[in-house]
Amino acid sequence: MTLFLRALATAFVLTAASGPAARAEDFAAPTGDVILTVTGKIASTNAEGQLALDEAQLAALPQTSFTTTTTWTDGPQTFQGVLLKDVIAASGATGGTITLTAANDYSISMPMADVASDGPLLAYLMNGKPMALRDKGPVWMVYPYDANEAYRTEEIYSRSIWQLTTIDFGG
Amino acid sequence: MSSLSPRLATLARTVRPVLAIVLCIALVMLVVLGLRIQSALVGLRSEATDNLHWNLSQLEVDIVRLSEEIRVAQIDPAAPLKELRKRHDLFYSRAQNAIQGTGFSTPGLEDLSTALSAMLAEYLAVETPAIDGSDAALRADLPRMGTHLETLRDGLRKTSIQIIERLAKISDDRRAALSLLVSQVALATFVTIGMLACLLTMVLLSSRAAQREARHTAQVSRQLRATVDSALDAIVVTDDKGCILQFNGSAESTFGYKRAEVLGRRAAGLILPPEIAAEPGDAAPLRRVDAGRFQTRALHRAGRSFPVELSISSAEGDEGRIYTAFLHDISDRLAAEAEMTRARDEALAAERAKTDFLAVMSHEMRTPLNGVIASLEIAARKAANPEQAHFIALAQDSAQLLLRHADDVLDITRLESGGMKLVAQDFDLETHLANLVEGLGPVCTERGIGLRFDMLTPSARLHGDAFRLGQIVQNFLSNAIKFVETGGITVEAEVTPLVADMREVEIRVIDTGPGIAAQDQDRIFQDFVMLDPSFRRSGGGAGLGLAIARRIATAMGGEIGVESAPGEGSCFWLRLPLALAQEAGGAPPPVAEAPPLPVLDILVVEDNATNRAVMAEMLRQSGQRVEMAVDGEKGAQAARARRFDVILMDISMPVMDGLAATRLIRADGASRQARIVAVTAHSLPADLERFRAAGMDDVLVKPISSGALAQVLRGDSVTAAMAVSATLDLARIDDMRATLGAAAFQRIAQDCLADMHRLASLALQAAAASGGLEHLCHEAAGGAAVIGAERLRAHYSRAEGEIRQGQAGAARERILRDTDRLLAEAETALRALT
Repeated sequence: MTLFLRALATAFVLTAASGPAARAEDFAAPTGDVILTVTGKIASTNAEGQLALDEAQLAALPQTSFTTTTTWTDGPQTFQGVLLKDVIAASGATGGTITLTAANDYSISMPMADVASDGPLLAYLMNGKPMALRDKGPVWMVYPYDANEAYRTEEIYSRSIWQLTTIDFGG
Repeated sequence: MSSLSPRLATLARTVRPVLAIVLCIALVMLVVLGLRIQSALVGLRSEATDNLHWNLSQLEVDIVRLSEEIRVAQIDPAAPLKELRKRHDLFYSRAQNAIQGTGFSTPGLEDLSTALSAMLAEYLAVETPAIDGSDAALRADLPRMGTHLETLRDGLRKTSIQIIERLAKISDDRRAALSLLVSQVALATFVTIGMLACLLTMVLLSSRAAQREARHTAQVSRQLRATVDSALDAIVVTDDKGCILQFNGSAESTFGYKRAEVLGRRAAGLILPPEIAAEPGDAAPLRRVDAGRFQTRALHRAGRSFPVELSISSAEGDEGRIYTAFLHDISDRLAAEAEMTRARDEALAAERAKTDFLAVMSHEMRTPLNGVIASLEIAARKAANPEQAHFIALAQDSAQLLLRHADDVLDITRLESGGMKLVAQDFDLETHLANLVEGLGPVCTERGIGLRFDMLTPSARLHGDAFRLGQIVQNFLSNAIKFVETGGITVEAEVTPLVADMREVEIRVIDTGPGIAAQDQDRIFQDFVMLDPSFRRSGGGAGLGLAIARRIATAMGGEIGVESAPGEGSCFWLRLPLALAQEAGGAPPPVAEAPPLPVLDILVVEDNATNRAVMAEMLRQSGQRVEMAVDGEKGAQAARARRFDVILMDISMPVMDGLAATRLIRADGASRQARIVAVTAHSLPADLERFRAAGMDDVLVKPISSGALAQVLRGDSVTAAMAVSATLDLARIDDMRATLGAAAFQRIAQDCLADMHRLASLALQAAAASGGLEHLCHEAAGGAAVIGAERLRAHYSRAEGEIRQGQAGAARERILRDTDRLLAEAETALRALT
């Protein structure tokens, strides 16, 4: 009984903590180059119906980093950035599907439910340096492939979108 | 089915290990294949490559869009170059995937991906500085850059196509490999399932066989149990420690224990007697295992031991060796055997009694005959007229015939008991036979029968019992004379050499009588067999003649036989081995001159007038003074009135028998010291003892020979009735042995000696205790007399006499002093004799 109540309480707290209204932050207009634009069902905006974020604003959000190899690079790489779940939390995003679009017009869709606590990471620093467009920057959504076998699948590889420019919460 | 199943079971047993091995191999293969499939699946799932096709097409798309921008920039010199630079950067980024990433380095594509990387690297190395340069320089360089990109695109396309083809092939191979793997797995699975099915079948078969086996075993077990339970023999099964495992119904009744009481207990000490159980390690009964039947003793619950016959067999059981004993109580059988032995002994005793009886009977017959013949002899001498003489002669013939019958019977009993003595002498065969035949001549002439004697070979002087030989021939002849009606009788004799100085004599008596049927030819040599009983009346004879002849011939080492056929006469033959005479002639042995008898006063007590007359005649002829008494009472009166030296006392008499008369005479009167001699046909040991007990000193057995009579008269009698000359009365012993036969005498002697020992010890006790000695002495004296132990008899008689005369002290002294010595002396002498 106690266990059940505790589990219920925890679920409530978690729900409350991840509730869109509770943690949605107010974002000022970007001052630097916008490297990521968030659109769709979001609570916070700093432009017309969208949230445009420069590097400084991304750096102001909760930071996460890990080191992993990828199939596209040679040797282990250290990535730093903001977890997608933190972006969702910060923007107060809701909806069932996330659509991500790259500068090269590559686009993927994934269900909100697939967003986990350890990934994906919206990395904007690789080995401590900002990534240029030639280095799959400015934002590259990566997973800790080495740490979790579940991320070494074709689907995850296809979701590892680089040169990311826009995130749209819809459906 | 019953024959098939065991074969199947055997097959299953043989194949099972093979199947198990094959199954194991199949399972291992399955595991290995499964691991390989898993690894293949893992390989497929964690494909470390991005989709190569996608990458290649995106690379081409990027090139196309870059070349589009280059063309746009060439057409419009005023257009900004920002888009061109972005497209270059995007292409650059994409190319880096091919140069650095692992997405293109799929195994089997290394050469192509390397070539691709080199192409891309070469382009980027040349064009990136141009892109990064000033707009003017970039614009000027655009045509060359377009051409360069076009070249790259062509190379890229060619390589891409090669990669796609290569990839397709690799995929095909991999699919084929996977397919093969799956096929192998399927096959292994199929084999495994097949094996499992086979094993299952076998297990089922085995199980059914086992069930059948179990049912069979149970049935056999039940049958065995039923057999054991219903067996008539007691059956006891033990383990190798001797503990009882089985105990059937018969065992319960044999040993008196219930089955439940003995199961698990040790047989030794329980149903086996302690002395058997005491043998170390219980090994003793086990030595008899599988050794057939043997007898031992067993214990009943009631504690009694009883004889059993048993056999033990052993078998290897599940828990060591087991021993099965089959046994039954043989108390009854042993008792029956003892009974049979006793019956046989009794029968033998009866047989002996018969022999004894025959011996006695012959004497009994000869006693009156003796009287008759002697009387007739006397009568013949005094015959008043020829008619009387004629009848007396007839009576004499009849008496002689009767005597011959009695002698026949006596002969049989003597031959039977081995008592016949052969008297060897030298004789001439031809002379002997001629005399014999001649003697029968008148009879034959009278009957009108021819009688002839032929000596077929030269005669010989032989050494042997001529009388017995003659007896046999005479028997043959008298038979022939009886049966031949007309014709004749021929006696033939032959002497043929055997070895050295031995000769075989064959004598044949051939008649022309009626002959004898083959089936009767053996019977006629048996006792009391007469083929035609009617001849008993006319011919006489007890049917013993040939039986006696056969016995005599056998005793002489020869044989007799007959060859005959009905209607063709008979030929009786005798074959004897005889030695040649050592000396020609040879004088007859000199006759010892008997010393004259002392003249004595003799009282004859005899109720039978004839016998009385005969005895008186015989005594008077030797010059004795004789008085007569007709019965015991008169005899006793006469003896008490006057002193006689010798009293000859008949036993069976009217008024008073000899024993009572003797006791009277011994009790008082003038003749109490007389020598009283029983005259009787009773010659059995028990009778003799009885006479001695009554106080008689000696016994004369009828028929009385003059020699025996003389011996009695001479026997130191009157003056030294108690005087004894020798340890043994050899004459008496000889007489008894001749009468009873050596074997019978020996038996009697043995019995008597045993009795003498008993009496001697009793007498010694009685002498020490001074009571009952007289009677014991009397009895012992009688016993000693029976076996001719004369000195011992005299010893006891003397003691008895002393007691009777009031000198008991002297008698006791005598008994204590001499008994042992004299008994030992008598025994030694007797043993030396027999």
